[in-house]
Amino acid sequence: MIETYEGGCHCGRVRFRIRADLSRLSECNCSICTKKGILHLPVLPKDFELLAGKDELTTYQFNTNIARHTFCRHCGIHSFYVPRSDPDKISVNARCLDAVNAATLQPSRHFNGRNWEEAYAARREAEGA
Amino acid sequence: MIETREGGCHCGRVRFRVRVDLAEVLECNCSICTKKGILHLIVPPDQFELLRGRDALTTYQFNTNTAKHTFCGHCGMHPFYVPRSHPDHVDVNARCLDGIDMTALRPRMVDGRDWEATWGAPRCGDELREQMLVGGMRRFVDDRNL
Repeated sequence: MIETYEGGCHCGRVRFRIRADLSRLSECNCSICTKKGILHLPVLPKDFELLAGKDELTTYQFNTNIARHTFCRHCGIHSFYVPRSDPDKISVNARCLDAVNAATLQPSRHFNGRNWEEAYAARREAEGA
Repeated sequence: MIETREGGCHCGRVRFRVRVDLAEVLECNCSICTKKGILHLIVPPDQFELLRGRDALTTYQFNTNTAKHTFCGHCGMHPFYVPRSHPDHVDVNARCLDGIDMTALRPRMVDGRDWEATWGAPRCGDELREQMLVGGMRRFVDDRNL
């Protein structure tokens, strides 16, 4: 079910509002997702509004340089980013939704990002792309 | 079982070596631990060695300003920090250990939203504080039949 949520980093400089479906939560085991501990909530750009903090973000890129790993330069929290798998979407970190209880967040999908190309091809096939 | 592990941030600027027991891993539900997604391994300073990256670290503090939330200013990873509960220890993020198998970790939950009840009284003498911390943790575990 699509609902409206707000969220942000820890120091409060970065704030966003989204329309998202929490049942579409996913988790990935690749090198950077493991370290970030991110729980991915993919949203279309039209369903994402950055309310504050554009100038507070630092962007980290590596490997293919497609993904844009943005984090607040003050508190280091990764509240959203542009993912390599869906560079036309925004992946919001469900951990950063206001008042969220992480224990209740149950990813419904697992992306085997350690074998990224294979996992991506399998996902595209499953989606009928 | 205590073992020697290495780890670091994602871009490689921050690297550490630590003597650690992975069975002691903790997860906390407080505001910042939820956002960081950190899995805690709290070790005394003599079991932690920063191999490189001191100058790459940014420190974030809030509330009591006891904890020092360090992260790599280049890639934003939080490989370790100084925790409020143990300001004389180093808290290593198990997620940032090399070759870690997340599915093998069984974190024990800590109720950081009710920080005082979990970790005991404010700072006092080290020995007494340790006893209180242990007591606080035991109360937390007993109360919840964990």
